[in-house]
Amino acid sequence: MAKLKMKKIELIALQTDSKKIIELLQRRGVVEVCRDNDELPGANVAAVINDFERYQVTVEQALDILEQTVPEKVPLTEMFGCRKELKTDEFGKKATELEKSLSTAGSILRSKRAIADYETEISRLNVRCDTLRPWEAFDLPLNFKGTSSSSAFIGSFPTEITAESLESKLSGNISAEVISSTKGQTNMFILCMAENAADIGSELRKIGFVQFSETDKRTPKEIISSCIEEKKRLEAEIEKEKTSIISCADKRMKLKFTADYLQMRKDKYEVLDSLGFTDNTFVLTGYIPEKYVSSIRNEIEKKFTVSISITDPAEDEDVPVLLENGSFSAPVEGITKMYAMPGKKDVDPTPVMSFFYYLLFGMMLSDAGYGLLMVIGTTIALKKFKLESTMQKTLRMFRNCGISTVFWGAMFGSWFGDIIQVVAREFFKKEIVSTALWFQPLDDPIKLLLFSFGIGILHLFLGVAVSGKMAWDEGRKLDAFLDTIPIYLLITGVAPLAASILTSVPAVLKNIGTYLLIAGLALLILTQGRSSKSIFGKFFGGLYAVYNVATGWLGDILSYSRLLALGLATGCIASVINLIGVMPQGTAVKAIVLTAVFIVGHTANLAINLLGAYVHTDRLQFVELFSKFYTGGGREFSPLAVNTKYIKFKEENINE
Amino acid sequence: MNNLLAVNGLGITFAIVGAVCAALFAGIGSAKAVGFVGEAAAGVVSVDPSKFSKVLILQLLPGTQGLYGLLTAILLLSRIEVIGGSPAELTGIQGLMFLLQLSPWQ
Repeated sequence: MAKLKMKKIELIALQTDSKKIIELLQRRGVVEVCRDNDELPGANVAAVINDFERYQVTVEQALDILEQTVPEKVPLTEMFGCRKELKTDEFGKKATELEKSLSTAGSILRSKRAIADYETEISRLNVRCDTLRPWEAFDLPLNFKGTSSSSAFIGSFPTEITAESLESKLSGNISAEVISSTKGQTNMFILCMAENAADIGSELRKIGFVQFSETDKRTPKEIISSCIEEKKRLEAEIEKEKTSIISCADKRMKLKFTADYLQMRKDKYEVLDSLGFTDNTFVLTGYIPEKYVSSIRNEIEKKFTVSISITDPAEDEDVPVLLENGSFSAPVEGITKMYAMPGKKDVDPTPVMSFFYYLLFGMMLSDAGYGLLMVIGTTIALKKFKLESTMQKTLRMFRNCGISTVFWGAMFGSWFGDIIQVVAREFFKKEIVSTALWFQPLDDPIKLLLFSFGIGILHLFLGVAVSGKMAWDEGRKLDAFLDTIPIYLLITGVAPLAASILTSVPAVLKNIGTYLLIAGLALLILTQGRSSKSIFGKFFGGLYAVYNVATGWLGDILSYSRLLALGLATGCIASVINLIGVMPQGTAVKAIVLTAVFIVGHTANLAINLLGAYVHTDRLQFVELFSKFYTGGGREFSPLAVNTKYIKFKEENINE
Repeated sequence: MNNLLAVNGLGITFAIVGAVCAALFAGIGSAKAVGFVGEAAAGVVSVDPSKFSKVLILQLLPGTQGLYGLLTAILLLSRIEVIGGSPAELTGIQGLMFLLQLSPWQ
């Protein structure tokens, strides 16, 4: 339970065995290799790693292209990113096909590139067609300059203009013909005598004529039709390349395998880089969780000539952290990791918060119907789907939260809001007052508010207790008491006094509270300034601590009012949904509408409030609880392992 | 006095407007803050992904703070017994007092 004890492993073996040993360690996935012997040179493998990276990029790109062209049909049971299982001997066989896979990947990439080229060419042809389209009716080549005695101008005006008006505008004798015209442009063919050509040309330019520049000797119609033919040919080529990509679809698995294989090789070589080499031996240092030490040691010593020494890591070393918890707490590990891995002095907060995580989540969602859905959904998913271990943990967490939700929902009498009461009233003409095992929050919100504060105080007291235990373990035994007991006294004392504002509290409790409060205050003032030298420092340090505790704890405890707010929000919205469902008249219509509204409304409500409960539970743990004892800042244990995306080995990995 | 009498029928309305203000403005504040923090957080995380947890806390604080407005609204609605089905009889002055107490411009 909690952080696993880490040992330092130092392994010296023959260089000839280096790759085999690293492969074995990779399969077992329990050793994190670190480089800390700078005296010995590492293997120079940067070039090899580079190659692997390049190949890997090729294969990944090829897979991407395949996915775009022929999307893979994934069976429902593997939706959650499960990797295919593969036996070790199959792996050996497939590894020999590397060359073939790489050439497949290469040909896919080439096809893709060709398709891209053809597509640019097609868009170029499209542009050309578009510019020639207005000239389609013109039956001379566009570079026609005239005959021996006449000169021709082919081009356009940026305005709409008729042939007659142009002819009258110009001084010389011309013959103009409008080929096509739009509002913003008139395309014209203008003919004049050869000797007038220069004058006419300059006059035309003055009124905005732009000559069409074209070198092709064919008529516009011919050019357009040849463009269209070319386009057809290119489209056929694209189809051909696409079919050749599609024909590679059955090699997808092989490509995935290759990607993973390259990743493993790369990881292995990166480790080689961090080893220390002598002429004939190599040294590997790393961290290994204590519980795997003997099995790894036996296995390696049996197969190879090695010397393994296991030591405790030094105080100042950056030892990685691996968490291990029982089946009750382990699902919440993800939440801890999201905040931060425990640092050197921290305890693993997972077991501290797991119980309260489920409890708080349940109180916030607090609807037995929604809880049941969560439990059923996650249980089915856990049974039916093959899942990776982190996904499994998350689902288990939500299942446990669901169980807690059912509990609190039943306590507060909320089953999909008040659906039981509504159905009984509308369809069976019976009044059910309440299904609550305890009480309905809407009847007495103040009671639930006080209960929430109570839960909050317990939650925070737990945090303080953990900080006390940590101080005790470090040998600061006096601190362990002085930093916890006064706070307990003070808060326990204030609680009944504060509660008396909102509700009636027996006088005895108030009296006891007053005494506890005074005792707590006195202790705080007397002890909290103890690190200060002067008597004044001690006194004011104590006062300052009182101020801190008062403001800090007030805010922290009030924060638990969100248990009430979120719980009520779920219930209120759910009730409103049911209310909308039974609005219509007539039993049959009512039943149909209610069913539809029920399904849509409660799905939305569940989604919103699941998210709310999750976020707010996280907040209570991170902001309110963790601030009492937890700093974090550790580094997660990341062992040399088979770090694959698509395939998974059977048996092999013990740390999974 | 005539004016005050006319206002009397609106007591419950004032109180409910107060509850709306409490939930609404707290929600707006929370949403805006989430936006601010989100902008900054995206920048931080893109530079140093390992800061995710620290940034998450900063994001959770404003993101969960708006709930207090909702809580206040719920407490008021239960105080004036709108939750529970039979709204209490409030005079206009009482209603206005609830409104002023719960609004951000108090």
